[in-house]
Amino acid sequence: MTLPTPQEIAPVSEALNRTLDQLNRMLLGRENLHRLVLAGILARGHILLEGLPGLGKTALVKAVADIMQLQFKRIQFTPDLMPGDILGSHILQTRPDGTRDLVFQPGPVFCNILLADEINRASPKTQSAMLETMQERSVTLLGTTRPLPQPFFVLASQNPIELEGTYPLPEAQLDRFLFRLNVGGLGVDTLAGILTGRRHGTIPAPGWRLSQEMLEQCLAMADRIVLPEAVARWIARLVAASHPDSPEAPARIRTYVRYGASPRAAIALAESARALALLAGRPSVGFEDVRTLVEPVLNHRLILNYQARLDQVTPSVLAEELAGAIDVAGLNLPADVEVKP
Amino acid sequence: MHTAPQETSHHAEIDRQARLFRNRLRETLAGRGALKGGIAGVWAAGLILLAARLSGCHGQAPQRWLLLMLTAATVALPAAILATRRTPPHRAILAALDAAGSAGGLVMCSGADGAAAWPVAVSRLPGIAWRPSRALGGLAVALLFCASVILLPTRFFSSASPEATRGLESLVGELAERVAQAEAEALLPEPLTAALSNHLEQVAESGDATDPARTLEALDHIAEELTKSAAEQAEALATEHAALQATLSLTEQLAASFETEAQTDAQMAEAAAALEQLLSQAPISPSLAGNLLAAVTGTNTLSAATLQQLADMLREAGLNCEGQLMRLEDLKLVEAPACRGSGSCTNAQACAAALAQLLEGSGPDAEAAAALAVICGKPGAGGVSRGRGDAPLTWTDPSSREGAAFKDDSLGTAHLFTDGQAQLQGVSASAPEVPDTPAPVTAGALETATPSKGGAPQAPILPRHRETVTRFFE
Repeated sequence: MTLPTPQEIAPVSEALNRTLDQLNRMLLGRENLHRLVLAGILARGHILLEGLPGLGKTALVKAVADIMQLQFKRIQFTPDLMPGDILGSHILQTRPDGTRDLVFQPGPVFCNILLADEINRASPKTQSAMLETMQERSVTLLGTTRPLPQPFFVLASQNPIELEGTYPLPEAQLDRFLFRLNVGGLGVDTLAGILTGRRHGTIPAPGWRLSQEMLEQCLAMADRIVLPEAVARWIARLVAASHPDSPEAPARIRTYVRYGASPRAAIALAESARALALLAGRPSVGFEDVRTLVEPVLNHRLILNYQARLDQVTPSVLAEELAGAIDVAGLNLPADVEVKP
Repeated sequence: MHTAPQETSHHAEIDRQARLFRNRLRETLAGRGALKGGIAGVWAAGLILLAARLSGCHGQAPQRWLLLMLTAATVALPAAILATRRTPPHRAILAALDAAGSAGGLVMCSGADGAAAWPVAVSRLPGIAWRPSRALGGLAVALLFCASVILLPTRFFSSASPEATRGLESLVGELAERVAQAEAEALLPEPLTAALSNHLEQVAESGDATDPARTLEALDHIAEELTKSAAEQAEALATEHAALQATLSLTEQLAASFETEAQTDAQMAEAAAALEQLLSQAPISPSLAGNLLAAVTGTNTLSAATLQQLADMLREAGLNCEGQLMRLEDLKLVEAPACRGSGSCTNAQACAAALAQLLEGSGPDAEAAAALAVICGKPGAGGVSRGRGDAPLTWTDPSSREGAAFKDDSLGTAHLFTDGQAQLQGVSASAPEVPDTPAPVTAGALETATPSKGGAPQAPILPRHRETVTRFFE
């Protein structure tokens, strides 16, 4: 286990912070959300943005793609959208020599950043077409597998209140998203700043852009961030305790959770914690990094029962409580002995 | 590039802080374990003592406390040692330090390569909070239980009913008070009172109700010993008092005769010798007898002043005896008759006649001395259970009937007949008429009885009973 040197981390951290500054400058009042989106990208994960219409979800994805100079495409999901509209299809073409051949016409999924807008409005068949692209980062059609360009990120949005004509995402697809981030409303000061500083709400162009090479360096450096054994064990205990039949599960988890988080959640926690540590300019992951990410990583992976609906308990609340209930260091002390910072 | 010594120093400092925190944690866990073990030990000691006392093995209170402390210490020490085994490992301590200081994993990675380039210091060790309130509550409950088991009197561990033990404390207290007063006022010999006090303490301590008769028997024995000793003491005092009174009467008579007529030296010497012999044979305490003899034998011949001095001494000694006897009576150690009759000599006339006979010289001196001894000595010195033949017959208060007789209870009126069974034969204002000639003897009632058909039987009085009825009304 070798820690990266400060000299190695410093330029990467500086680039990431500049990216974050650009995002914060372009989109006002979303500092924490921007940080998490950047961490998700560094962790090579897909992000599900959930919020009311008009809160800037699409603008955020566009801004990220613009700053990172990545190929960006957008798909507006509708109930009549077909898998071929996303993945691409084979078209019969006539060659100059007069022969005819099926030629693959790539769909909009072949890009670096894909904005899947209102993803829950598509049919389950179309939604399931996204499964391979999100997990394997490849598309298989007629027995031919075609890799997607790297890096590849899916940033999807869904409107929680538009239940009419929507198809809830299956758990298998939800599990493929690294984070589910709730895009909330803006404060009065932020709104006033938008109104006074931007005509028609036009987002300014970024003053600095992240190069492709630097992005690859950032991704490579994120892989070198050290995950201490104690932190890894805490992540494992957290995910295990999210299951109601776990001996370490808190009482409210036993009461309200039907299914806990998958091992993919543990991997997501570890990878995103590495990214967050890199954003902080540290060579190792700390407990505070994991604690910050427990809610966005677990809130769409906890399947609650009907009792939770009746009691209006949300997965986010349970995830936060889970992080507070599991002892970080694993000291295994008696209940009446406590370590206070 | 970082040098190895820098990394070693950095890592050593983190390790030192971790060991320091681990030691604190171990001490806390040891203390907690000792407290828990102590509670278990106290409970165990309480249960052991309870079982022992229920089985009849009581011992003394200090022994019980000692057993409690030994058991608690015996359990607490291993518990403390075992509790230290729960001390977290070194890597968990590092993780706790990292989490407490929000070090971002740098404390946990302090031993990794390149860690020296990322200096992090544990500025302040995290605190260890132990909330022993529940454990202390448990200890208080355990101690309360144990103290109850230790301090409760033995009778609470018996299966006898409370009624059987009721009054035991008052009996013991009453006896103890009497013994203590007798000891304080030196009415009884000190070894005896000390022994009785010890016996009473033992009865109060071990007097259980498993066998109330045994306890009450012990109390009766002590009371009997006390009464017996007091009676002996009272008898000795009464005897001494009677002797003193007799001697005082003799002395006063001598003094009166000395004042009325002149005596020869021989007579006075003879009287002095008789007095000396009387005092030496009198049943009085040796110290008092020595003092009295010293007053008499100090001079060869008796004088009025010597006799007056002797009379004063005798009177004072008599009053002392009376006081002790009255005190014994007040304490109910002896009954009143033991002291009665000790206020004055009832044989003054006999003493005077014997003295006149002695002075007239009509008889041998030995006979006169013997007569004096008989009159003033033994016969009049009756004790509590023995007395002179001509002693007046006195009656004491009736003895307690407690435990000796049933309580008197009036029985309710028996209803032998109900109205439905009784039949009024008539009301007589005078005695029935009885014929002068006896009625002829006829057959008994069975022969004349007829079926009653549900009515009351009408049995006539048989002739052989008429005489009895007649005598009744006569």
